[in-house]
Amino acid sequence: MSLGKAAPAPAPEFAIVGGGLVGWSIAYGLVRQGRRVVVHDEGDTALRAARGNFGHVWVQDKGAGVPEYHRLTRESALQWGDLALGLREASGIDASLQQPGGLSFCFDDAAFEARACLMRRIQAEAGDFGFEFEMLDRAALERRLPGGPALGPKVVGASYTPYDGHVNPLRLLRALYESAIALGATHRFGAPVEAVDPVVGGDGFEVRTAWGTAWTPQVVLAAGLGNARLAPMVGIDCPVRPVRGQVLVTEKVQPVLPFPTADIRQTDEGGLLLGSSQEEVGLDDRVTIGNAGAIARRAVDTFPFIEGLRIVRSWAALRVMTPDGLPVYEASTTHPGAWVVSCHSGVTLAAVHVHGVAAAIAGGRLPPAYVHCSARRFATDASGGSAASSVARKEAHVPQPA
Amino acid sequence: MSDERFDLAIIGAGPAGMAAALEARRHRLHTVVLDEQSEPGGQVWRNVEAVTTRRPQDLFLFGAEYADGYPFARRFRACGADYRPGARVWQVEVAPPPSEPGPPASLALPTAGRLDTGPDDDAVHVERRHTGADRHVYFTDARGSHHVAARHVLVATGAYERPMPLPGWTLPGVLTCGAAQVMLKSAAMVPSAPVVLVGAGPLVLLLATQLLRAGVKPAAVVGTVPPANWLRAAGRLLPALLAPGYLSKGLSLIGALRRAGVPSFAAVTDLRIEGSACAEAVAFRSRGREHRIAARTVLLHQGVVPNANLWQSLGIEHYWDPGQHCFRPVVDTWGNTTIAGVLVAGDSAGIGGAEAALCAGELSGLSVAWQQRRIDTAERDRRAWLTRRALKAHWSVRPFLDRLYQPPPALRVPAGDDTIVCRCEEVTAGELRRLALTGVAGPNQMKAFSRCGMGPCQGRLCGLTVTELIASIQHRAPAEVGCYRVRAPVLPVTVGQVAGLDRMPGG
Amino acid sequence: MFRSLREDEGTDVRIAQVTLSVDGEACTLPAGAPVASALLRLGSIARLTGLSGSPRAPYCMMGVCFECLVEIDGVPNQQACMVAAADGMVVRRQDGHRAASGVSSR
Repeated sequence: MSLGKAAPAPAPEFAIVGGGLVGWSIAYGLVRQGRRVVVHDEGDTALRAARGNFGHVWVQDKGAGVPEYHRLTRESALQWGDLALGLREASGIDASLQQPGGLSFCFDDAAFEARACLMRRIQAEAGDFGFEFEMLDRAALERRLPGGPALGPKVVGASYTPYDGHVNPLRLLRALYESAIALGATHRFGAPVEAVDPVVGGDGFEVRTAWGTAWTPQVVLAAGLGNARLAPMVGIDCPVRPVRGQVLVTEKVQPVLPFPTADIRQTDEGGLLLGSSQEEVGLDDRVTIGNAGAIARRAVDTFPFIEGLRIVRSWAALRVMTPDGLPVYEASTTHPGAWVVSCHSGVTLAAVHVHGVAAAIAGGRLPPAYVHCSARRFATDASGGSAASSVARKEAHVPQPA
Repeated sequence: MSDERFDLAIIGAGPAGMAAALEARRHRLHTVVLDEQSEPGGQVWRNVEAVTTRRPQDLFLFGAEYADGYPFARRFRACGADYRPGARVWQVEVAPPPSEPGPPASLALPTAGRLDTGPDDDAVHVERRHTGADRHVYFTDARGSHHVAARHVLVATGAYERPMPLPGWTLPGVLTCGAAQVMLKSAAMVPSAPVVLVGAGPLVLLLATQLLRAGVKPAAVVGTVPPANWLRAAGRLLPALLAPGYLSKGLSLIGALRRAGVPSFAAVTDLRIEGSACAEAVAFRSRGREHRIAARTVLLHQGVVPNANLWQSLGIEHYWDPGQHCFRPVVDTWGNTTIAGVLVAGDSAGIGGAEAALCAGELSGLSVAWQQRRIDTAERDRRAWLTRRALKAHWSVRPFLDRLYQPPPALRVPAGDDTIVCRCEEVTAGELRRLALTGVAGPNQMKAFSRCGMGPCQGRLCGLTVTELIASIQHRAPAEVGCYRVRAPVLPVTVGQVAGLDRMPGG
Repeated sequence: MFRSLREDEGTDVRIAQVTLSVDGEACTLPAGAPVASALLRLGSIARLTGLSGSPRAPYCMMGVCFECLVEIDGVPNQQACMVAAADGMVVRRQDGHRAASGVSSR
């Protein structure tokens, strides 16, 4: 729909499949590098994680057993300020980044001790890179929330790390979209990409939709759950599966929560977002009473004042989950020019996607720092998978899509 | 919290809901009726018991059709249905096991030629009995939140007035015509002068005459029907004449206003409401001249649209009706939807009026009785025959009324950029238009980008405007643009109330 | 904006009357009438919006538009058109977003 300039626009160098946070992050990153891109977007009723996520920029419990992933997440959180600034300059839209650190609550002594173990482990694995955390008992937590909301009687304590924060994820999506369009990206919406056909002889790809076929020299698959179907067409195994998450939003209230927690945060607009459920129910993205009840109870257990707030909206969305929870950044070796990007943390990793991953794609090769995200780890062999995936599978907690 | 189980749960105690309950009880279905008002009657018969018994001297204000509601409400109360006033349903949950069959093949989209008609004799029947899992209904009343299970759920949530996004429509003192009727029926209050009625449709005429009877002479009736609508409607006049009483009643209302000397304006354009802290005047152009009429109360109306949020939240298949300019659920002649065990009847399935809603409710009650094997096919069809004929007669006036009172484009999609479309989040037409021009794919992306539709009304007052705005800017059909994806809870419910519902079946 | 149908005839004895207060101002209504009718009778707004601070008053009177949100007996964001007036009710207009605690900030 971008009408472009009066002169006939040169053909795009990259076709990006997927108009969610990952797709638009890569698109924005590429147009910033002066590359010409077209974004193929299924349209208004796509299964869109980007419209359903929680809005965390979340570090604290990610990457136990895979320090490279922890480091990647930390780097993205560190770069987020620059990303927000760039987006504001390009689009005038403020993604409302706040990084005051984040809390993860524990409701019994065993959970508190397990949490402390997890934090110590991530710290040990971080090595020279370092990892700061605090285990706050109830009294320390109350001191951290002076004049703030009273804690529920079951709260034992919380972990705190200074790296965590949150943004307005819908404004982030809009800012990425408008910035990319302003820098010349083209947006094609309304039909899902049915196939990506490598042209015989290695001369690019044909992107096929119900409306026709478009040729592209390079293609980036950022189609969320669609990557499971599309990536094999360019010789890459990307076994992502849906994990449903449900969120409740309350009526707007005056500012009350100074920190985001692992499943509660107050948006810049005033409403409280309550999460987070995790279910493996296939492509069913309906909300259920069962999830709403569990989410509501945990929120009230954390901060009893929440009991009296009205829920004005609720939604569920499907996380794009790999078997080990790590992202996929891969360049096709069988079909050069095809790239696959998949993750469940499109908000947290947005800065890395815009700055690092897009630059790597523009430059034609992925740096060694992303090797732990290679799709080659999914290649099935006699030993039953790579070391990285078997370690990472033990991650105690699959976080919100953030 | 209750944990009761019924054969049929009916949501709404207006004409459709009450008629369905009466029919269901005739076949001894264990029936619960949940309604958010304190008395049965819906909007059309609102407060009819209290007015009839405690303010009979006011009955003359409302006319014979209103008085008819009283005996009907008495029959409803006596029918043996478990009637729960003050119950606000916020979620219906249908959690089918994977083995549950999909929508019946016979439920095809209505063909284009039939879009503006109601259910009719030739339409398909669903020859399938829903015997599957219970459906779960969650609601809140003065005592807290509750749950009932039922094999069938009938959504009979009626209609509300089509939003009329004009400059100044958010000012205090601007209400709907329906709101003024509620004030008359429920609070025995009338607007203080000067009052101006603005818009088009039978309710404008009806309210104007009711106000006259109550001793309030409107300062003006400002009509918005474009002249072209008369031409379009003329071709549908003949079938409309066959509908019982509609047109003669309309003419007599118009006559009453003339005799009372109420100033009226027709085919006005450039309509706006002026005022700073509250409404002070209605301004418009008529016959090439600017007018400005002082007003303390401005009452708007441009028809009604289905109260669709509840059935939309269930993911029932729907279609855009280009005659009624709204989304309607795909239903068969009985009100069965594409979700097994869930029916929609009355105005919430498409605007047919109270008389048609009575018929539709009765047919839905029959279908549920048949599906639950209380009656056989022959009895169902025998009982349905007369009702269906009456329903068809009531619908025969609709093509005429829908064409005549179709709101002009400028009153469906504001021409000016400053006019508020989303009252909750204060999103203007200009903002939406700018986003639509950049290529926003549809109402849901629009909602995500602009917050339009994210407030407590959950898009009830902006949804249709957003669909038509995107359609007009991007030269697409409203059907293709689509609508907001509505999610439960469809009414605000507290976190605490939801927290107490964790161990419910189906959860 | 609105007045009683029988302002000049005096109160009808057959209809029970209730008295509530709106921001300290007393208002007598027929029992069962919605709280929003008191706002309309007093010509009072319901709230100032949280975004622009613009005044809003009852619009649809049937639970659809959520414009008439007020604090009733200390509980904020109640739909005044969906709550029946009761004797002694204390109704307050709202100014912007509610306080988290449910206690009015004013």
